[in-house]
Amino acid sequence: MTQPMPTFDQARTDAEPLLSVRDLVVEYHTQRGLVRAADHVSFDLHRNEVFGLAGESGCGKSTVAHAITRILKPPAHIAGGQVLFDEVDVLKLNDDQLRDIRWRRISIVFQSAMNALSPVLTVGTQIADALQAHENGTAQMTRRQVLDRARELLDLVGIDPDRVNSYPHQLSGGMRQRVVIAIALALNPELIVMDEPTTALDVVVQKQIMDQIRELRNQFGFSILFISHDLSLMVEFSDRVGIMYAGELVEVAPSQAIFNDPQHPYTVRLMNSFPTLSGPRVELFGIPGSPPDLITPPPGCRFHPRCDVALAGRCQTERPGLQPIGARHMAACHLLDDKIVNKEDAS
Amino acid sequence: MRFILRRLGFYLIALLVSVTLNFMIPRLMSGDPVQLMFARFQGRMDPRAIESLYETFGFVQGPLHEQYFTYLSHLLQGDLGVSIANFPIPVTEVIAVGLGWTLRLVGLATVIAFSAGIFLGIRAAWRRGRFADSVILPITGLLSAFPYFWLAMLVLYFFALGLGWFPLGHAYSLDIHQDWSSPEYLSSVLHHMILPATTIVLTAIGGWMLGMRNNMISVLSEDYITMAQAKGLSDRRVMYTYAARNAILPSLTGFAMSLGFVLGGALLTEIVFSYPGVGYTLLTAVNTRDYPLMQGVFLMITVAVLVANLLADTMYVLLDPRVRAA
Ligand SMILES: Nc1ncnc2c1ncn2[C@@H]1O[C@H](COP(=O)(O)OP(=O)(O)OP(=O)(O)O)[C@@H](O)[C@H]1O
Ligand SMILES: [Mg+2]
Repeated sequence: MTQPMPTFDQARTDAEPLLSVRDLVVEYHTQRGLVRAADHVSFDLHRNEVFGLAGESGCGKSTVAHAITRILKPPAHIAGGQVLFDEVDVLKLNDDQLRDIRWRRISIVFQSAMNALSPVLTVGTQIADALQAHENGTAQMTRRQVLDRARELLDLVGIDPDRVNSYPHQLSGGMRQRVVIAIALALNPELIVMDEPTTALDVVVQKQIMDQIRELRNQFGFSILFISHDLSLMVEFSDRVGIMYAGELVEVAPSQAIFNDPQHPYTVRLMNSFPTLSGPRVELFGIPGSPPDLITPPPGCRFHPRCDVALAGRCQTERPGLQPIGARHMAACHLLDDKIVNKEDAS
Repeated sequence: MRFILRRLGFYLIALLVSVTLNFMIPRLMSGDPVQLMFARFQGRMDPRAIESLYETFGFVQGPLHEQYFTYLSHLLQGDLGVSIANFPIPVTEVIAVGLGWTLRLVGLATVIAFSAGIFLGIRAAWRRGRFADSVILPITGLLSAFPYFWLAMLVLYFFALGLGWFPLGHAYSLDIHQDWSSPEYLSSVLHHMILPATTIVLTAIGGWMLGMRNNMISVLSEDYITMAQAKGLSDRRVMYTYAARNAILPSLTGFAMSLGFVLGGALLTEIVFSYPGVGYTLLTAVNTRDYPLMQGVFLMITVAVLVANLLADTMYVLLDPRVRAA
């Protein structure tokens, strides 16, 4: 099971990405109108990679995560695009095929893990359910084996195995979060989608859990799609980061590049608005204005009304696309036109 | 367990209060209530009945607390006195007969209405806008909005009087020997039960269905449902173990409470279908001014409601781990 952590270059040269999201469009049909919460979102996630999605609240991070795992519910509607997981389009799977890859290959840790466990079932039952739902895929497990595995999983995330018989309300928030992570690990998935796995927890517990996740990843080598609005956590934890603004991906780069050399004006503002855990104290700037209403987003670049370097004319009328501007670095901004490099050169 | 014991203590106190009220009420009337009753019957009452009446109400010589204890000890021995209208049959016996019929008819109908309503509610919420939700739900809603009396009369008129498919009333055919082991008698009992039971089920099902559907819909939007689905569980497992298991909790309390009221009889049903249950017994008792019987029925209903409450609490504890710790 244990394999050495891949280096950046290994992840990069990995021929086929594990997950490839292509022009994903997700809309919510609301009474006020059509909300386009994900607009032609494209990114790749390689094996053994942690890809982060960051952005202000409401920019569509969860929407993308839920579209990938196909758990969107009405009024959400996937209006276009592809989600290729190991070269198969997840959006085209029928119910049985979907059930088969769920949890066995892709699992998810919910944003509000506090509510992700049913209050009337024991922790053990909720772990066992995941194991037994897929037992036809693996070997038939006896009740005893299932229970043993449940205990083993709890142990793995640092919870007393005797807690299998506990109900969620008997656990603290941090423990519940660990249980949810244990459930996500149950079937050794290749990809775990983590939607703000620690947002509701205090900083100390948050750090413990993030360390735990890192350790588990070293041990089992799964990939993570990591979602957070906490940029410092994101940069620290992810290999590459995608920045979302108003339903669009505006910059994708290795996290060091996002941290040291952000290119999109929005990313620059966003980086300035977060304190770093380590490093010198710098003055923090908020971003003036608020994210646009996704029903009537501004024409041109969606960020232009809040952008202090926007060009009159072009930024207001023409929508910038995501362009390669350096090795493994992409951004969507007209001001970076002179930096655009040939795709061949970039890869 | 502590929780249950505490509730039990509470219900015992409630019971004692209602029993004491039962004892006090005749004493709050001016004059000797037994003499009053006797006067109202204008001498048509058996003198022996008067004797037993005094005893039932604890009107023995002596101070009030002595009377109270006499009354309590009678109660504890299950002695509720003698029915005046059915002299000399004890009240308990009259009630027991009515209770048997009520339990079979109203009890069965309530259980059926509850189970069917819950099941339909689950289906309606799971497949919103489909058949159960868009066709069955409005129909059951309409049925429960009908004035019960009117519906019962209508059913009786068409199916009993008009078509003659079912008897007009009573619990069994009077020319069949009452013997529970005879299939003939059993089928007669069933035949008499169908119409009244149907009216109860039809009018009760809508409430259960709507309540369950709405609870289900709010539970279905919870994250743990989405997570159960993302785990790749079968629809059945998600629908019953994760969704319904949580959504049914509020309905269960209602159900246990309604079981308590079952024992009070379905008054209107039993009147329309002349069904000899507790409700009908109460009506006769009122008509004949049979006070011991009335008091007996009231006491029984009180106890039944208290027991049903206890049952509701117990069920909640068994099904909701959060209450267990409290
Ligand atoms: N059920 C819904 N109905 C209508 N609009 C919705 C619904 N869910 C989300 N949206 C809209 O879609 C947009 C993106 O929401 P999403 O939950 O994906 O944001 P997010 O980036 O995850 O935010 P947060 O950081 O607060 O979790 C928001 O503008 C939101 O208003
Ligand atoms: Mg979110």
